[in-house]
Amino acid sequence: MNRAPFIRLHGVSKRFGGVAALDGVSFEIGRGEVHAVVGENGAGKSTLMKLLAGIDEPDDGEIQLDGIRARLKNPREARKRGISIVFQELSLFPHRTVTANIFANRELANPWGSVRGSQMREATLRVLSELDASLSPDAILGSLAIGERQLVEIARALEQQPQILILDEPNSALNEAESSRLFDILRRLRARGLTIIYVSHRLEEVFAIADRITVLRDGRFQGTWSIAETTIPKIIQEMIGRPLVESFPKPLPAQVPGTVVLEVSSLQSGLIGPLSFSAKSGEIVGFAGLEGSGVDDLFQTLFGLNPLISGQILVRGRKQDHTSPLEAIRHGWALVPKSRRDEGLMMDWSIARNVILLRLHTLLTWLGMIDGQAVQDATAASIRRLELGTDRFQEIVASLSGGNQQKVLLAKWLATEPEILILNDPTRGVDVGAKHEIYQLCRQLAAQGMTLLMTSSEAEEIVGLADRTLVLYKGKIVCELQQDRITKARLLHAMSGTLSAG
Amino acid sequence: MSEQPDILSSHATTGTTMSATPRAVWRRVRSLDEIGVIVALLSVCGLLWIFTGDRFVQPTNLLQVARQASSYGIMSVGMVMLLSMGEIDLSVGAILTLVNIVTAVCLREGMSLPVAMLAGIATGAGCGVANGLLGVVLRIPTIIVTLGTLSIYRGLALVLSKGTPVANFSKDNLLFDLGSRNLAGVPTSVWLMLIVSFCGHRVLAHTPFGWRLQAIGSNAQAARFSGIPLARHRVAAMAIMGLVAGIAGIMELGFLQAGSPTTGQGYELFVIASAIIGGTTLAGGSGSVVGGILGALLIAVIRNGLVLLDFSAYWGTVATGVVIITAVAIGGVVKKQ
Repeated sequence: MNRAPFIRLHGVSKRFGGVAALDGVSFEIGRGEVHAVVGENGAGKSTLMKLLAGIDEPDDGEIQLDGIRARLKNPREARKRGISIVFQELSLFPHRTVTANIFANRELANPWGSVRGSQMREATLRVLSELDASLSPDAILGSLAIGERQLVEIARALEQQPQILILDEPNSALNEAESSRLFDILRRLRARGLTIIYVSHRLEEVFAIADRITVLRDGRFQGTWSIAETTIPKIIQEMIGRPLVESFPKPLPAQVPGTVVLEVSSLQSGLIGPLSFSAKSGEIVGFAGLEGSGVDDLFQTLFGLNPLISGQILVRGRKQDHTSPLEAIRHGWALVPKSRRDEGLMMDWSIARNVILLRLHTLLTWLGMIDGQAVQDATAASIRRLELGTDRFQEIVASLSGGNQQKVLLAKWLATEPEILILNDPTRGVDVGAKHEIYQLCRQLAAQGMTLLMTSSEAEEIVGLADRTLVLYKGKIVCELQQDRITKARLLHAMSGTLSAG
Repeated sequence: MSEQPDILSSHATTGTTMSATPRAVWRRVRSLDEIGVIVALLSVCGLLWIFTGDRFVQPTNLLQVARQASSYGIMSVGMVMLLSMGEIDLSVGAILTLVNIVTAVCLREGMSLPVAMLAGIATGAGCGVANGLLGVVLRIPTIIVTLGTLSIYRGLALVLSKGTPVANFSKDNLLFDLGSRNLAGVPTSVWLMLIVSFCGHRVLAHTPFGWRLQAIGSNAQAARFSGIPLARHRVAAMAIMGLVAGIAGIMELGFLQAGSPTTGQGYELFVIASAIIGGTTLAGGSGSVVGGILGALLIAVIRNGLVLLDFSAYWGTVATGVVIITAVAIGGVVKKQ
């Protein structure tokens, strides 16, 4: 695949605040190849794609197209140079038709200013048939399946007749059949001479479709390999490339012997299941999986947010059939949700109010009014436990650092004194110091006999914290890794569906 | 970890602790949700005092203003609760009318006063519950539901009254005795407004129910994750809104001495305006019952002032609009500093 380089990046750097998202990245992409760009979360993949799509400009270095320096100042400029991008998050209009979506902001109009509906509809039909997609141009987007929406997104990019098509994690929401259909389409587009840049962290799939692969790590270029001359383990090594920097606290001696607390058998809900597992008191059980693998769904089902279709949840041998979070809380469950901004905290409320919300009913006067003094005492006690480093409980949560917000969120849920604590990405957007404190807190809680179920967007956090890890792939548990046998590489293998034996 | 203390101290707050210096007091005052309406109310009152001689500050005039504010004021208590949970009710004026007519018709049909009043209150609360249930069951936003029920309730009032005032019943009882009179020198309706707003303030600011309403308004998704049943709270808050609109409806009956199918028309705008002038935001998350009452007072003061200054009553409507925008803007500017 050694053709003349079509895109050449030379010393490209981009900083956000004080953080270098990209640091002197140089590599080449040949005309007509499928070029995969891989790396961990935060490696700089998406930043790089945004530079190519003209959404951001590099602080340093240059991008050349066909040997000529290209200044991609805005998305329109990039489009003019033949670059189209399909974004990670679907960026479509659910209430509009397929045609309206494909021509959004590029509507064809006649000189009197009214849109040329039939012309756009024909063009839509044409591009859809190129994709072998049997979609009606008049279908409302919201009524389509995720895979079909993805097709519309690709059709929108293709309708602009690009020379370079960028796909930023296009298949994170797709099922197997939809993914393989996407790959067929990509192969056909490559045959027509289109250059495709494919960003993903599903290595198995990258190896199925790409001609060459470039690895980024911490914003730096690690190398470009032809698929034929490398292997998945080699690429994973390049992606990790460093010893674990975070040190994880060792398990503390248990204060109570571990007994089986939670038994889940053939749980089914939505797209997940059947799942069976158990957890003991004092145990931290990790759940690993790529986005869309079902870990979020599993947690929400356990907590009563998603309906349980079939299967059983037993806590200490007693069947639990809570259908709402309220009942789950009463049964001793707590769920620290993934997004503290959207699901966790009342951002415009004070620390005190947030922390106390879940145990208001215990802080009442005989008249049923909230006892101000009791609220203060309870807040102080909760927060002291988490060493928040501030005594201004009236401060608005939105003004706190990410780490302190996360501690407020933990305090809120620990105030319910749960028996089973679910932590969905407990250190997302948290600084290193606070991270370490949260790890220690988890260990303390486990030592006190609490059962912790956790997941993280950082694989090494699961490796470092969990006593054992269940790996989910497409809604099913594909393997279980014990603490002493787990490595980040093994975990990543398992998460991408290429390791099935425990 | 040896650097842990450093990390913790970096989290420490940078501000000074609260003390009683004038500056700190000012900072606290400025951060009040009600600051906009307080500033507006004080300045409008000051201007009126200057421009009307002493007529504005005559006790009889001030009590008259308070009485005029009482209907909006009572209903704003429910509206503040709804807004702080991110909901709104456009049908409040129509509920007031319907309750007013239902109670009058009950009296005309020979029911005793307590029974008729109970029927009226139940009608109000029932209308509120219906608003809530319709929204929850049919999954329609409250603003749409109440846009529809606004017309339904008002229509029912017209049907029941055949479009004419309902007055042929004995007025020889407590309601009509107190309705237009003063109690300890203050109009009965003002006492009622004070009682309802005190209760409303206690509920919103000092009960778990009130906090949960605000939690829903602040972040509905997080509230759901926190186990707060959204639908139940929505119906309850709408019921309270209907209840206070019912109280206002019976109060109007006592004051007007007759059931009137035209009373309450357009009240929804004044009630929502009172709440918003008082510092409750449309977005939800917090709300001030006291602010709502002050907002209702401000509207009444403006209308009264224009009369005292010999402006046409029609200008009162224009002025009300100007005041809504001004008071909310003042609140925003002062708080942002």
